[in-house]
Amino acid sequence: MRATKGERLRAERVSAAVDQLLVNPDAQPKYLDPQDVALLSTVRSLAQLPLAFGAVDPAFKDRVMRCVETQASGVSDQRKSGLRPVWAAVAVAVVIFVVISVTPWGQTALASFMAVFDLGRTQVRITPADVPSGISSTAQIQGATLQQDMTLESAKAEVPFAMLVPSYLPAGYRLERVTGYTYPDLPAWIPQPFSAELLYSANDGKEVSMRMYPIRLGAGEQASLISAMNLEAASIQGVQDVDVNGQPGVVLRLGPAGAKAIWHEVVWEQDDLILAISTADLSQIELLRMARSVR
Amino acid sequence: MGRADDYAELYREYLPRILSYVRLRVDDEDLAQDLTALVFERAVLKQHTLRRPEAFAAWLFRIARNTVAEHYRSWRPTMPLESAAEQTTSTPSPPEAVMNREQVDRVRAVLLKLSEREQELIRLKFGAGLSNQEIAAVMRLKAGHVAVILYRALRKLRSWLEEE
Repeated sequence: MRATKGERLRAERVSAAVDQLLVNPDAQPKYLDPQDVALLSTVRSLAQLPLAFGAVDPAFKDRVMRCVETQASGVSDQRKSGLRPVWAAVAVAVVIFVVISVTPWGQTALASFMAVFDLGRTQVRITPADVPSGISSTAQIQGATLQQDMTLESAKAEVPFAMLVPSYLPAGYRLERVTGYTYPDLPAWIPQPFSAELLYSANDGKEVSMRMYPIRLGAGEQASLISAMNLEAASIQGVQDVDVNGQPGVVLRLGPAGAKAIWHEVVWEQDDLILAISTADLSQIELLRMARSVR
Repeated sequence: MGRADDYAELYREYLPRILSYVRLRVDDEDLAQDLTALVFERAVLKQHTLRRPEAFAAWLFRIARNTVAEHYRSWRPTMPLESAAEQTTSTPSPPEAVMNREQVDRVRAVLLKLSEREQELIRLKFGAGLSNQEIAAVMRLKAGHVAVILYRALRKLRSWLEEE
C-alpha cells in the first residue's frame, strides 16, 4: 500500500525517535504525532531485546578477532602474491623444488609426507551390522595389510576404548564403514587396534569421517591439552578455537600449502579420547553440530 | 578497497551488533556464536569485494543475512525429538538477566506475526542498531520506504501487544 505524504512524515519522525531511544533509552523524543506517542513503549521493549541476551562473551570476542587477524594477514599475503599469479606460481614451484631436493629440511619434510602413505600399519576394516558383505568375519591377509570385516558391535568389543558416535547426522548421511587401525611398531603392551574411524557417506558420494585416538597430547602440565597440538603443519591454513561439549577444541582449515582450503576438521578431547571429524562436504556449522552431538 | 587487516577495528566494533542480529534469528547461543564467527571468516575472505569503505555496515550485514539464510536452507534436524527437546531446555536463558523469560517470549512471538521483510527490518534496527540508510542498503530499499515499513510494523506490534 502506497504511503501518503502525511504517513511518510510521521514515519520519518518515529524513525528519528527510534534512533534517539536506541542511543538513550531515557530520552523523551519530541515532535511526534500524538497518536504515535504510544509507540514509544513498544520501541523501548524492542530496544531491550538485545540487552536481554546479555553482553558478548569476551572470550568469544577474542577468539573471533584472533581468527580475523590471522585470516586477514593470510588473505593479504595471498592477494599480494596474486598480483602476478603465473610468475608467482613458477617462483613457488622453483623454490619448493630447490628446498625439497637440496636442503635436509626439505628432504625430511618430503619423507614425512610420504610416510603418510606407508605407515607400516595393519588395517582392520569392520563393516556395520546392516551393511551386507560377502566377506567372512575372519582375518584376511592382503599383502602387508590385514583386513578384517566384522559388525559394528564386534568392533565395539574389540577396540580398547569406549567407541563414541554422533547422535546427529546431516540429512542423507549413514554409517558406511568402521575401520580400526593397528600399528605393529608399537610395543606389545599397548592394546590394539590403536585407533578407529567411522566413515559416514551420502548417496551423492559426499563423506564425513570421525576418528578416535586414545592418546594424550603434551606432557606434564600440558598433558591432554588441546593447546599442545602441532598447528604448524603446512596443510593447516587456519585455526579457530571452539567449544565442543564444554571442552576446548579447534576447527582446522586444511588444504595443500598455497592453495585454497579444501576441507575442515574439528578436533577436541572427550572421554579421554582425542576426536577428529573431517569433511570437505559439510559447512563448519554442520561439522560442529555433528561434533557436539557425539556421546 | 582496503586490506582486511585495515578493517580489524571496524570488525571489532561490529562484532556485538552482528551477534545481536544473529541472536534474534536463531534461538541457540552456541549456534549464534558459531554463525557470527562464520560471518567474520567469510567477510575477511571476501574483503576484496568491498568497493566503498562507507558501505562497510551494509556489506557486512548482507554477509550475515546470507550466512543465516544458508544455515536455515541446509539445516535438517535428524536427531531424535527427545534429544532436541533436551537440548533446548538445557540451554541457559540469558534474557532473564534483563527481561524475564515470559516478556522475551511474548515479544518474540508477536514479532513472528510480522511479514518476513518487517521482521528482518526490526532485527536490523533493534538487533543491529542500523540507521535507516544502512538498512536500506542491506535490504536494497529506499531509506524513506524503510521508515514507512518500520512505522507500520511498530503500529502492528503495538496493537498486538495491547491485545494480549
